[in-house]
Amino acid sequence: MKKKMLVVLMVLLATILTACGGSSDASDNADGKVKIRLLTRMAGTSSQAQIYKDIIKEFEAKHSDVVVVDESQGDESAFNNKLKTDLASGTLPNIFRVQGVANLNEYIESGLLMDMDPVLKDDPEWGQNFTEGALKYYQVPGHEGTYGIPMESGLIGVYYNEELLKKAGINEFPETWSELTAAVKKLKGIDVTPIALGAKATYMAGHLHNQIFYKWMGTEAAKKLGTRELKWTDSEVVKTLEYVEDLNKLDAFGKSAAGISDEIAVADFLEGKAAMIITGPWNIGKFTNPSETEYAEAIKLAKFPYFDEKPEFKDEDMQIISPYMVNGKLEGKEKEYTIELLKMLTSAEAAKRFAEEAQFLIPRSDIAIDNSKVSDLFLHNIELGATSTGIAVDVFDFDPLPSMQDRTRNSIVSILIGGKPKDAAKEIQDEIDKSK
Amino acid sequence: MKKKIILYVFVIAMALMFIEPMLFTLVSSLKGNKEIFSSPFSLPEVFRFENYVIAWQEANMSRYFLNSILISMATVIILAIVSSMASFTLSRFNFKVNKFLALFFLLGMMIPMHTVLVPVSYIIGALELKNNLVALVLLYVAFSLSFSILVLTRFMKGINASLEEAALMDGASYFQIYFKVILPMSVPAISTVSIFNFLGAWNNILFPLLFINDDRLKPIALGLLNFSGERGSEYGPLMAAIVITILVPLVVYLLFQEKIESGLAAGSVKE
Repeated sequence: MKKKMLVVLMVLLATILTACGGSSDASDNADGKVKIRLLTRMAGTSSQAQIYKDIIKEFEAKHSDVVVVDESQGDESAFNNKLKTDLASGTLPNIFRVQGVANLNEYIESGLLMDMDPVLKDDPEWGQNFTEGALKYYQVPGHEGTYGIPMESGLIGVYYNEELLKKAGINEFPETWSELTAAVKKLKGIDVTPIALGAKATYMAGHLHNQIFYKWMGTEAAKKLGTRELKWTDSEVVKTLEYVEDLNKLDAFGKSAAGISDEIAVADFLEGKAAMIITGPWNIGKFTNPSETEYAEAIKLAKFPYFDEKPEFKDEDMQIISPYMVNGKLEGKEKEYTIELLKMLTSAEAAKRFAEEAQFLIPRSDIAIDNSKVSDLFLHNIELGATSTGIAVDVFDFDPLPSMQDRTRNSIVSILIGGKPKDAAKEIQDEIDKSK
Repeated sequence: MKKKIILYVFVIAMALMFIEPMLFTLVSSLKGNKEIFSSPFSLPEVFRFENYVIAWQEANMSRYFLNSILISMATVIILAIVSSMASFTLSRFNFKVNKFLALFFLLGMMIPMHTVLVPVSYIIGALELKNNLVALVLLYVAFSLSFSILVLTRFMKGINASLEEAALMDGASYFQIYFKVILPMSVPAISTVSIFNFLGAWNNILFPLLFINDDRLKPIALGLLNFSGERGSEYGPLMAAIVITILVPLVVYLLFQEKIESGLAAGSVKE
């Protein structure tokens, strides 16, 4: 009996292992084909991810001798885990993405990033039509060349519910900080959360501070923090954190801001429970969809208010810029194909499709968008974005310390739950000093 | 009586606490994104059963499901064989190296998976073992071996030596003793570790994330990531996929629940 069991067990194991082994053989479809690995954030069920996948299929159909392995991950921690281990074990994908600018230094020095300048110059039709500011973002101080191809851009501004603002007696969107604080008070009066913010997703608190920081000190100041010409504990920088505290003291974000996620914040805004939200163009699809919100007609976009005493930074804006990076170690046919795929993903034609079908903006100046196919809100985002005199993404993007993303965001969240701006500034500065 | 009431209140409160996330997942799996966030705790206005269809078909869950079963079963069987053999040697013999070996195996439990990711992924890359399910199974086996050996050794130490001596007197070889005396008596403990090993392999997302990128070979846990976009996810189908994913471990647990509990207690008391 027991012997029979053992035999059965062994047979079962053997079957399973052959099944496993068999399927692994089937996957080994290299057979001399060029393999192109992609690790981007274009994943999930969104329409931009769908277009991205379509373009890859198109590319594969064009070249029978290429296999594209798309390992892209939408989930941030899954993406980071993959990229980190790939970097450490020397198996970097052909096209990938690194967030931030200053931390590109070490990648460039170890030859992991391809300088895109020659490629951009080689094909002027494709290469010369990226907007200058976006390309410039990937020119890293201390290194010649451009180390990323911008694949997404757009103003991060204040989307507001005009109907609610009018109800509170605000006829014009606040242009300045003092008008903003006055509006917050009025909105409290009609029992609406003035600004939807879900600090559980710490980036939302970070984005709020970015806005305040650029309007108070300009985008160049963020670079100075990165090069250590400025300190987080400098009074001017602390001041930007104090403005976060000021808004919080006015109860601008509602009582539960610290505990809710970004998605709940967006839902609150869509339902008219909140009057404003700071976000990027990726939510425009929801804002203009009548089945998502009854306020589809009333949702408008403006830049974050500037400070009365700092009109010079009125158009210093936070914009999203995301890149594709290319593996610097590629050679021969692999390199050729990788660049071709990159061009297909960022061409004017692709940009038109991304804009019209997914309201997703590639920073090119030659996109012939059919205005009837996109929403006014999206067009307005493009218009406003074009007026920026200075562009930056996150303040920590210019910091060579990789831990600054979490450090700055967490410290800003601490202000929202009653921490002091000075302590938050010290906490961030300590992290920098500690690393020296 | 009073004590009993307090006990019951406590137990019911705990039961509610544990069942709440599952109920939430189940209810949310029938809603759309908007409804999940605007009225998270209410019943769905319209029951969207199509979420399950989307999860099963569009996200390729059917294939992932099969892969997960294959991977988990292989892991469980290999672990049961290897760890019971090691435990037999550690618990029933007095070799000089046994103490060192026991400690050596135990040390494995002190190593968190994340700390060795880089060397492991280097090895997997260098040996070209990406997209290889056998390699994945062996990784699971390696990381679960310590726990399995620990539990089984403790259990086997509790088995009365006279049985083994009787078998020896009757002329049984050591392999026969292992196979005919110790192994059948260790079934409760082996079941326990097998359940844990099954859950471990079923739920692991990190190794397949790093080492499996062929869509045909992905396990179900990785399939859940298919619904995560950079900025927002489709929570309805995601929740449906989660319900599908937890169904198997839930059934396995319910079926073997008694064995798990008795197995965990086993070995703690020596006769």
